Amino acid sequence: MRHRNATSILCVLMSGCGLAGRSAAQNIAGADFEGKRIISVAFDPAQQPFDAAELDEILPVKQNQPYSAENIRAAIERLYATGRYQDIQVDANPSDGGVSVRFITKNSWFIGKVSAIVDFTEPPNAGQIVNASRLELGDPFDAAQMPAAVESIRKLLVENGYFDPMIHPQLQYDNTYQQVHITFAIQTGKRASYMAPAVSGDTSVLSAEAIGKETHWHRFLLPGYRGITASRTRSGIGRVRLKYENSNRLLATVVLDGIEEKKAENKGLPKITVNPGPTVKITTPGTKISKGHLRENVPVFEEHTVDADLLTEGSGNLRDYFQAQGYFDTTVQYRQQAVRNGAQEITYIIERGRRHKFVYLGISGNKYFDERTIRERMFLTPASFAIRNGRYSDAFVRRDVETITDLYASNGFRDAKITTRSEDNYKGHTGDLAEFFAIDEGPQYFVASLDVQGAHKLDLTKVIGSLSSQPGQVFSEFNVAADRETIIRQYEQNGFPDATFEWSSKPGAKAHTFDLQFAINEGEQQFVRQVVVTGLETTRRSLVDRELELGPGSPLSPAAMSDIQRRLYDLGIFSQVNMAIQNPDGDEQRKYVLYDVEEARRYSITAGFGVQFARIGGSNAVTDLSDPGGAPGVSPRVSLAVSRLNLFGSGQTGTIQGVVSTLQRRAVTNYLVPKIFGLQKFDANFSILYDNTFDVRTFQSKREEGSIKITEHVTKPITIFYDFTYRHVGVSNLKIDPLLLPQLAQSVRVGIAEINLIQDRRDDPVDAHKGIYNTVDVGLATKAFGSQTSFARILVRNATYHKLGSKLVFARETQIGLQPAFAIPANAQPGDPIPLAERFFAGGGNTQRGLPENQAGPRDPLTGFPLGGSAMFFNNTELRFPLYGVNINGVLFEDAGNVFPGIGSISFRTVQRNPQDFDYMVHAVGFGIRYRTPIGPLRLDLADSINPPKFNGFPGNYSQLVQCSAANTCQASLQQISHFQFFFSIGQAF
Amino acid sequence: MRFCVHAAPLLVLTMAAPFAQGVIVDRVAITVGNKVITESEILRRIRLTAFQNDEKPDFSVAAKRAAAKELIDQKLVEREMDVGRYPHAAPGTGKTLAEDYAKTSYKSDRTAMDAALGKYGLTEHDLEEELTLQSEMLTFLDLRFRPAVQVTDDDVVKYFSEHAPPGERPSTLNEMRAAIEQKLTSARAARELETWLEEQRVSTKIEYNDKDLEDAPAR
Repeated sequence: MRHRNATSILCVLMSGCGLAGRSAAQNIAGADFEGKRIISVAFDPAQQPFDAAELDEILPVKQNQPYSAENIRAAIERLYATGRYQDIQVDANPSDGGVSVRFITKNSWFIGKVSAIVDFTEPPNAGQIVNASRLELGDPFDAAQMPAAVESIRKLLVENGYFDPMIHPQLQYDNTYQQVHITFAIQTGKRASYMAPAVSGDTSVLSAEAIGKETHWHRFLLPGYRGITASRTRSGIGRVRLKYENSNRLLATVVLDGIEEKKAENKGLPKITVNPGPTVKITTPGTKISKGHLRENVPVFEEHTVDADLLTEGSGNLRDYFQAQGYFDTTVQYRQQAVRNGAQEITYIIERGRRHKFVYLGISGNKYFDERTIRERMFLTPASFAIRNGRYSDAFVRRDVETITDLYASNGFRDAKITTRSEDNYKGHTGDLAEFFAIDEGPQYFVASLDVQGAHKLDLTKVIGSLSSQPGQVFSEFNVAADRETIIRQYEQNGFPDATFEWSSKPGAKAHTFDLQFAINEGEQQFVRQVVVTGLETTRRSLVDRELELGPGSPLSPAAMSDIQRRLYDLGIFSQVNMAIQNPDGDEQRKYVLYDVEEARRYSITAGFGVQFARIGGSNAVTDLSDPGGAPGVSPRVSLAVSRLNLFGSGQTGTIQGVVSTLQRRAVTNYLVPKIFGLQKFDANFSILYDNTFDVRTFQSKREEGSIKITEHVTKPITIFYDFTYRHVGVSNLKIDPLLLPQLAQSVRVGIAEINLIQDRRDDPVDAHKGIYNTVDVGLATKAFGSQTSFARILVRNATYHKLGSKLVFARETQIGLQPAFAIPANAQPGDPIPLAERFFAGGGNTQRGLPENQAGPRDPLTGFPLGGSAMFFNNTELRFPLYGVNINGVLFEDAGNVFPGIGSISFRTVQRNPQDFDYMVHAVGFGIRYRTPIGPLRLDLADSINPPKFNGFPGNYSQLVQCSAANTCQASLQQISHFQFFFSIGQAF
Repeated sequence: MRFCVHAAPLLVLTMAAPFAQGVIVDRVAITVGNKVITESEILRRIRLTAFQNDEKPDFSVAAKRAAAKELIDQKLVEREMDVGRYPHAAPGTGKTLAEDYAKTSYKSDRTAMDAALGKYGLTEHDLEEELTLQSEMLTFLDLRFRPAVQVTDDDVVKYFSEHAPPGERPSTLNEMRAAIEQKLTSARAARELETWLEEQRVSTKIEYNDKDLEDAPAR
């Protein structure tokens, strides 16, 4: 009984306390404290998102100051505006004749890493799932967002045939940074397959069966249907629509009403409603225009609807099209018939008029700009070889007037006026058209004074000095806009996201001058509180840390943030790097910068198969001495590379690569250390190579090599490689005079140190149109490096690319290579002392297209096989031009050059004196075709060698050669490299 | 018996706890985006309204809800003014407006006005703040909505014919044109503001920490 009483008393009291508390809260107290001294300001919990100094800065409520309800309210407002609090209450307590104030707070949460753990095959992939959740890194987190996120993911999965997914969001709270990491654990079961679609609507044009077939949802040549994916569904519906379009049903509608889930069978029944609409026939009676051009110019085809706007747009496009063809007087009107018997006809009546030729463009009145400067901005182009009738239309004239006016206005000619005049039958030639532009420049306006106001927190001295609107400089809105960009960018880079710029001007004291005033509102500067990186699983934190240019206290610069993101991507170990500012809208001075990384897959496997079809010298058989000058041949090639990324979490990469072809067997192991010793500009590469090659058909070389290469990225266009290589090269199966075997068949050990500088200022390394490409390679092989042979190597290459007009490219390249030997042993045999495998071998698609691959230079006097040389010179010139459409280009080229036994043998002579003389320039001219692809142009070059070398070959096999050589009875057969050479490959020749 | 032994200290603690924690003097009642309305702000709004209407303050839940609604709209406008960089009232505006208020409502007797404010638990600063806010609201209305309002001649004629006293001569229309135009412009701008506020109430995250205020009927 007492128990019961006690319990009920306790409950009543507790309720009473609760009520008392509630009542106090409802009738906010505090009037009694007004004006009393604040004894202390405390926080509950003690651990706050801001440190004491920041809180002191934020809060207007301070110790030893009088209590004020207004300040308490302002304090709550300011704390809440920071975005870091979900709820704030303030209580007060009489204390020591004053009042103690306590802020009771509840922190906000922000979205951290969002990831997905899935048990099914793609699509959708984890990235698509995360995107579907619409939970953005750094945004405020609200648990109420989760049901919507789960529903979006569910929808995505259903669209991809996973009808009954189990989605479990798991939240992991990180108190340190007020982050919530969200992981969606998803189980789906097996992907459902399509069923034959249920088609409703008008199936008179295409039957349900035909529609089902057109979707391609059925397996090709196999029974059953394919698995449901969103992209298959989209493309299936698209194909049906295209089918209608191809039969002139431009207005056909094909709507996927949904996919009905058949869970028991794990299938989905697509429901499609079709309406073929009328046939729409678009004709141009009396005027020929291809179907493709009609489609391009009349937007009805693309928009699947017929309305006055689109038809009028079509008229304009067709007029421009014909004007561009030289029919400058073209007028286009359309007639639209009502739908009759399920058909609608749209007729474009095109009056082309007489074909003109735009022959002359006259520009007068220009003093400030020369004619070339004006012309290069204009659309109008008089007739030329490339544009037979010239480029002219009314629209182009209007555009050019606007362009020239803008050009003058941006240079201070605010009153410039341009008038135009056309003259038909120019100089009495029927159909010739001339257009005259008369320019009245008017006065040029200048800046009399510049007054920059409002720059208090940031020193703008340097920036102001670099502005375009300096006193004495030209005054134009264009310059002011550029100055605005410069100033605002400067503020943004220094953490002023809200900086604004306004400007005003008034006439200056002198005529045609203006006094300028720039007013800057800087706003608050923001700083980095801390950079927070999430998503590191195996990667070492220190590797990432050294890429973080921003740290606590740095100005919050979006440019610096993006730079860090780029650097993290550049490590090559992250497949994704998301970047965000936490609590972006919160009114706080210091913000967390978040990087959420996704580590890339650790293994990457690349396999390749290719066939080399070219003029390949000689046969593979060791004893076969036929075709030393090359014969068409095929060499299949297989390659496989396995890379292990991010070894030991250090960002280093190990690669094993193998290549096997009928000409080569190669195995390479690479170990790449990016940014070695933390040096941003230096990478190191260690490699071990085994190579067994027969590409120079004179001999088979077996190379075992170890090398260390340091790469220095000096500037964007300049890279230097420091390389030390130690190799053992053995040659065998030599197809040369047996008497030379003792000299050339020796294995050799080479230790060589090289420095290679590359300067690349090309606009596009894959297919350059302008710029310069230089390389200088200097090497030294000496006993000091453990080399059995001593020589130096200098290889210089200079290529330049020039645009001729808007479409032609002139490209040229010169290569010079020298390889002088030194410290030659006294007992060395005469001839070239450089080991065979270390000599220059050249000729072929990238050096001299008048010769097959590696067929340039000296040859064995008995067999005719190339022996390589110690000097080389090549000069290539190309004229690249458009050939057909935008993707096919043509090339005319001239190649000159050869390989020589030494520097003293280099000769520009074009005539070969005898079959033993190879010290002359081989010249070749030719034509090539380039087909543009994303990986570079596909190349076919056909070359005609003007003076291919003649040489002595041996008409027998190697055994016969040995016999006749011993007896000194060998009979030479005179041979010559073919005049015609061809090359297939990818990429320009240089 | 064992329960009593254990319950007694708990009882004492439970009773003592609210006193040890002190009195809640203010707290977040409603959040409007990144702005906040505190409970004291709602009470002050009730007092100010009562003061301006010269009536007894009503602290009922319904009155609090009504005040909260007004404050939500005010915060939405403030937010928009911040984002759109609308001009805020010049410093000293509140003082001038309070003087004007004293002139019209208290015949410039500041002592009487201060006494009246004190009766409602308000200070002159509260009044100055309120009048400044009202002035800024009008500025916002003028800048944001008034320029877009168009009043045609037909609108003026229609208004005149609907509202003019019977038998008024047509010449009177010209005399009243400017006044009618202003009246129609103000009414339409106010309608635009109301439409905009409705959109903002839907699109802005508004959360009621004080759940008693939540059930306020939609305005």
